[in-house]
Amino acid sequence: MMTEHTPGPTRQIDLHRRADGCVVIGHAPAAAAGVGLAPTRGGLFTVDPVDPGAVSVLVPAAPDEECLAVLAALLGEDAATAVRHVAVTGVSHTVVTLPSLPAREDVARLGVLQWATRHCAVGLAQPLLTVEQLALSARLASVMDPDWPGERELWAWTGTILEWARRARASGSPWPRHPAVAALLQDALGSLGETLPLADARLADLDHERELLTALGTLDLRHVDADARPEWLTELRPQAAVTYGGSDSVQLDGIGAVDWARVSPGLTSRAEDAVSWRIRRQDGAHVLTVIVKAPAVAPDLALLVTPTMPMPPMKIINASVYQGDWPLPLVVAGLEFRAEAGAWLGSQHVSATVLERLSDPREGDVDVDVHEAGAVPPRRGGGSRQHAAAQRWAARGATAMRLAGITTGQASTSWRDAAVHAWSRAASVYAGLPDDIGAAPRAQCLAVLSTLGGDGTRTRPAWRRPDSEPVRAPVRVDQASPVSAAEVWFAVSHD
Amino acid sequence: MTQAHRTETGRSTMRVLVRTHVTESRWGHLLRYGGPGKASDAVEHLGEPIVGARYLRDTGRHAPPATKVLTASEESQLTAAVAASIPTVGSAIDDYVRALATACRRLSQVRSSAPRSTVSERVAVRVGRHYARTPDTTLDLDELVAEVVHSIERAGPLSKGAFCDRYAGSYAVAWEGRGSAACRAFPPESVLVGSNAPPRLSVGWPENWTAGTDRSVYGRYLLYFKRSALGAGESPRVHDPHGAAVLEIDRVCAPYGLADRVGRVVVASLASGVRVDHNGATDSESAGRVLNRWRAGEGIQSVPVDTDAALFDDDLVEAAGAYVAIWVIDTARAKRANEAFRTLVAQDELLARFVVRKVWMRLHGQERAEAGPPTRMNITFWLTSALSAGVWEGLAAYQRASQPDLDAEPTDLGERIARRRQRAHDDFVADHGESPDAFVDRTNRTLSLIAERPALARIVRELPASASEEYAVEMDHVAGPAWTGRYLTWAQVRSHLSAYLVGDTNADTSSARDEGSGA
Repeated sequence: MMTEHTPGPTRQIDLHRRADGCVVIGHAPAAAAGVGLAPTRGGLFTVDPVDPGAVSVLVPAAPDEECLAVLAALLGEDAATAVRHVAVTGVSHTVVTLPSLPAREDVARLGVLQWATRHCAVGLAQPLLTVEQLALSARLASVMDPDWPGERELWAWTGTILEWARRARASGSPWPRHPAVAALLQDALGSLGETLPLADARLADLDHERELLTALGTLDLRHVDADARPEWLTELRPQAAVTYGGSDSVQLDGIGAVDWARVSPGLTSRAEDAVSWRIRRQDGAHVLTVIVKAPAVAPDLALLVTPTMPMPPMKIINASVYQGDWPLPLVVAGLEFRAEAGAWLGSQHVSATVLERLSDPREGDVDVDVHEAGAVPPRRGGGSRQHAAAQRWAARGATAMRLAGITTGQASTSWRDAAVHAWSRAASVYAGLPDDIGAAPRAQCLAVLSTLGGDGTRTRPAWRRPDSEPVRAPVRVDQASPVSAAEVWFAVSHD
Repeated sequence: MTQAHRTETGRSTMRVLVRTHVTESRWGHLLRYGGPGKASDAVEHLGEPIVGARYLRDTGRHAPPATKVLTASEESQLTAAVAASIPTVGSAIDDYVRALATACRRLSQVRSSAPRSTVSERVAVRVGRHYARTPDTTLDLDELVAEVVHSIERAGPLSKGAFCDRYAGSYAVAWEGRGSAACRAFPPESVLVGSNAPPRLSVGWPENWTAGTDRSVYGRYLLYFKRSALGAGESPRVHDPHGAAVLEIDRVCAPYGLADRVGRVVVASLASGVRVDHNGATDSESAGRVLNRWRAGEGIQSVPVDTDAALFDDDLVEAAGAYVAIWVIDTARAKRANEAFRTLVAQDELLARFVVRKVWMRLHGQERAEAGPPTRMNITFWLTSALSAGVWEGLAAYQRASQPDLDAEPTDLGERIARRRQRAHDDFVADHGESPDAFVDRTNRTLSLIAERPALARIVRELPASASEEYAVEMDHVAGPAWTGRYLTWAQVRSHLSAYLVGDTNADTSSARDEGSGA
């Protein structure tokens, strides 16, 4: 379960109707580090992890009574009335006051968890993230989209959650005794207790574990002081080699990042230098070799694995080599995961024609795209690479900033330092993009930097770059953004 | 959290006032998460009606809606009403907690499948009603518990085993008769709502909406009883477990798994309307005109009798196309053509599949609720919901299904991991008809040939209308008539073509330095 936080400062919000009749509540967030989506019966909530208190909702056209009732529960009666008015009368624009409602904060937490699942830059324990989302979704069942995964999916984790609770309370347990981890267990046990059929024999065990955890929670909480491992930090910081050693000019080898949107989270490293490739002569033929770093996984993940744990299936990964504006790949290599090397490896013979072409600088720069087999081809050029890179740096910044908030002492300082570096890099990459794409996220990066660069007090500045194009939404940074148990687990399991 | 809400002046609501006062009262500990009572039920079903009644007595006016932002005078009057009501709310909480524990114990003894949350809600609604209307009379808890237990005992679904034992035979007979005929006349695959295989009686995993009509019979039956499939504020209906089973088996055997003919027209029309060319052929103005026409009209055109005639409503086909056109324009602008959006647009079957299946779920829900045929308003709502959220959700589910997040697990799980690898391999073979390695070989052979031969390269660059034929002719020429076994087909080559956007010039100088090269 997430730590509680004070709601963001959104008090008044405007609504407008789109051409297709959908009603937009609030503004699109700056989203420098990406967003999380939470589909409710009242509409789609878009949540910016840097400012989760901001409200941005897309309400479908012709909202029915149920949709409006859920909006009333999440955003207040006045917002629901305004949506009805705007949707029916076609009034283009109106402003309402939002009450602060706990249900909306829960939806925002779910959005942040969604963000962490897809965009977090370090190897969080996915089982924790999954359970936290399912427990929260089960609690929010009456407002979430009826098809959203919830109680039944959580039931599949019952055995695992019970086992976790036992491990967490065992004497000498290596489990971090952090309130967030205990709260996650309480939350999951609580959600199961509410939703499992009353005839389920495991309910007695659930009650038992919950009582023990409550007792444990009041005793001997270990002080959180994580010395984060240097390699986690280095992956979040711009490195000299990556920054200046760019090898676009070298045709036959290179390093680069995996585009996060092209490969499911947890498959490959999220470092900016995760991919290295080269073409060399071997036994009389030319061979392309691609090495993609696997994600560094917390050794403590072993503490979470149980025999009944649901495990998602696997996917095939390929690397495709592109050159210039030629619309097809020139070579494709299948990659295979090698646990002993901590990497995905692939090699492929390169035909003479292709080699000749790749060696010719007039044909253009060489790109290697790492992707799931069968994925649509990448969109290339037009600044798309920078946009993806900027978002990666901002996500690293957001990740480090969140970890700095969880840890104390030297660890916190290191994370914070990493955050400053990553956000600066994000700001400079966004600055290279056209204003309609880059201005709002860049302003958000700078706002974060001014927050981080201060005296460390948790102010919440409403920062706007004076000389920038007008930014539609005010840029805010909410350092008290909700934190997931998975992030806490990650932070404290490295001391 | 409560402190934060209390200090937010000018944004308070009745719900927040009630919650704050109740959780800070001496009854608060009963409502902590995982405690004997559920806070949200105590606030919404006990506190709010009791305070509302008190407010009406004190002021002569109805209390404002629970989540309305209060004016200063409403806030002070309501605060007084809440404070004055706390002893009554406390007694109600005591009764609610006691009745809830008794009801759960009884239901557990009779092996009920109801969850505690359902019992809690029903108990709270009844206790709240009593204390709001007749606070001075005694509440007969035994009678209340008996009433709740009775209403719930009847409501539970059959277990999977019991359902299969009891209904496997009748489903087989019904499918053999009507089901297979309906499936032949109206193949689900043709409208992307599911595969043409008969739906299974039950499956061993949790199912979601992306399955469409591939959802098992038992899975569809469970929806009658699923808490989250109910509307917000809608109290769970009492379904006869056997009646629902008979109804659902009958429906599974109807065309597209829907009993109502209008629903089938909606499914077929959407499938046809959504599968248009999304590449900006329609501008938002002409799409807007189509939508105005659609909104001004009424009803869904349905065929008079069950014939093999095409099941389309032309207005809906056109409107669906227009909604998608606007969605493409707006999304491309808002999302800057991100990866998920591109996947959906590039694989238009995927987009249509998600839209059709999401709306199918709503149609199925409408039939379960016996709510009558859908109106244009309903369809507009469902279709725009599907486009604004459903398609992203569908894509996430689609990608989640292929997400190996525990890959570097300890070795004692080696066997499980190996099995998952094998399954990924098998899935690939099932999808592509060959192994990943063979596919990569064929791809490289083809890519190299295209790069080498100007005639083939021209087809790829210029994409003439007759590209498919020209490609075949050229391949016959360079690789012999049996080339299809060794090289990619034109459709496969086409699926590899990437858009390269001009205007990356400022990128090339800065990005090389900023990002390194490569991917």
